[in-house]
Amino acid sequence: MRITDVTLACLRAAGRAAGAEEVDLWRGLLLAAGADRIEDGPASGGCIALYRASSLDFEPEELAAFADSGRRLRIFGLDDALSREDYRAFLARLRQSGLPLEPAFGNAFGCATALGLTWLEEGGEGLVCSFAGIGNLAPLEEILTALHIFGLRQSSGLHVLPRALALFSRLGGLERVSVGESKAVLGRLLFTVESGVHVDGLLKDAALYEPFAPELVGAERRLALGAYSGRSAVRLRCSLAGLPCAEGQEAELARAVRAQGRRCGRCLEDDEFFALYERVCGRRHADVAGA
Amino acid sequence: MRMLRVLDVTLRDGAQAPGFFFSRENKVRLARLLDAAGVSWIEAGIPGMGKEERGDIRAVKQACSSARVSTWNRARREDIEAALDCGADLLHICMPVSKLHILKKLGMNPEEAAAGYLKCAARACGRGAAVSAGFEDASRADEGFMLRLALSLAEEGVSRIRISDTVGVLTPLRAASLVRLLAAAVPELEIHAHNDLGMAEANSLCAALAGATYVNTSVLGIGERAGNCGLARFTRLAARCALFALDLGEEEAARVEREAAPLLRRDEALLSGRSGVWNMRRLPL
Repeated sequence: MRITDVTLACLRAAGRAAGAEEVDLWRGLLLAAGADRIEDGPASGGCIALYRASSLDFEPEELAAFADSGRRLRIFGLDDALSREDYRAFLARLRQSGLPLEPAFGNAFGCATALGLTWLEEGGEGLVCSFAGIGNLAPLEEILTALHIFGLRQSSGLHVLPRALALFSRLGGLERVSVGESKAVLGRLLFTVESGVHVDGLLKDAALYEPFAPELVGAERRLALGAYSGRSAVRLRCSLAGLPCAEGQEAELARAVRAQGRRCGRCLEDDEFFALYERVCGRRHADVAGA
Repeated sequence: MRMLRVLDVTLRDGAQAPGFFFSRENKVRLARLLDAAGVSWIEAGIPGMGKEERGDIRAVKQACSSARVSTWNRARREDIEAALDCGADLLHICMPVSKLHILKKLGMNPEEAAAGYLKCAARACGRGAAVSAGFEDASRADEGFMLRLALSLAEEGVSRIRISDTVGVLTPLRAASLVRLLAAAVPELEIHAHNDLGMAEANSLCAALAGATYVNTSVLGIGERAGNCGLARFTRLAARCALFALDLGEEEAARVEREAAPLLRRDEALLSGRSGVWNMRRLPL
């Protein structure tokens, strides 16, 4: 299995060249996370674009004409290949062609991770990815995390992903490459829990509502209070902040939190929660926290 | 060509994403957008949460001219009673099926849990409700247990089962395999996919290709953690598939998301849960 990251080439194509030091840092982080090869220039083998599912009718044997004396042959596109029932048969024919293929599945329909994982799961060797899916490719962090949790390939360095994200944002320019707050594997809100049923689950066993522990990808679990928070959430928040709260006051504090969450239409900031705590419990947060 | 129907869960699962709260007014506005776009089903809320929520569900039901309304419920007698009181078209009962959920969340063994689920389903069906069973955490559950439960539920009158990939760890191959397995027990299957590994839409499509007739979506993909299968993204993908007809087109779905974004009070790109780099060019060859 060989996972190639082409993020630097994508950034370069978008006019965002990285300096030598940054390239070295990027290389170090991504290799630690589990990529096998970091590419910083044009692909060295042959390239062919099969942009649409209709391209699946292309006979894999014809690809041999594009292969360049044994070097790897990169196939771009196939963004919508999953929309055809015979996509697996086509991928199998590609694998059986004996060519050193390295698909760079396109992600215009959000299927590149699924296609890449299916390709690797069924015996494909090479795959081209990019960080956060830049350049319309399979997001590297999704592929590496999926391979790890499905036991297809262990990676002990996924916890560097937030550092890679910070460098990626710097290299790409925040205005162009902001990553969604719920972006799979990377989003800052992935392990933030607010609703009552999920806080309850978290208290019983975090694995109930998490696909993997946040530490695996260098993230932290966070508790947010808002319109759906119940007594369990309030009790946990008070306990984390070292605030004493009598059982009778928990319900009242939870009601106040929910009311403010509904009014604001968002989670409460710490200061807002502490203000409610003072109002309901009659004690200043600063006076009792951690006492 | 067979029909594939959308059951949108924005008002229930979407509302569980941190920081979201939908006032009754906004729930009704979102429901109207979905209804006008042609979405077949809307999961309007959780009756067991209280009177206010039940009022919201009734208001959503009243606002829809063609979309039908379902409710999400725990397998508890009091929740079923609360749901029956809402007048929704479908009563969805959540049934955790993985050992982890049954042991750690419910504190039961699988046999006890299954007996409780069957009793709840029988109660709801006996009162004339259309019932769907939600196999929570199906992607980490024992297949034999699910199949036996599905067969027993079918005998009680349950005609639809939701395969819930609660923590987003399904793959396209496994999504298809679960649908084929449970199709032996019930005529209608529904896929509920989360996007933790970036495969929610792909898994939903593969489940549909394998025979699922309902797909759960949410507006802009909002939901717990990395969110759910996105309405517009799924519709765009499904439109490329010649094997089934969807109840709404990609333009209608895109319009819903455009018009809903201000109601959700967040930046659309951030809400979509995807990277903001999608608009960049393809990697040049």
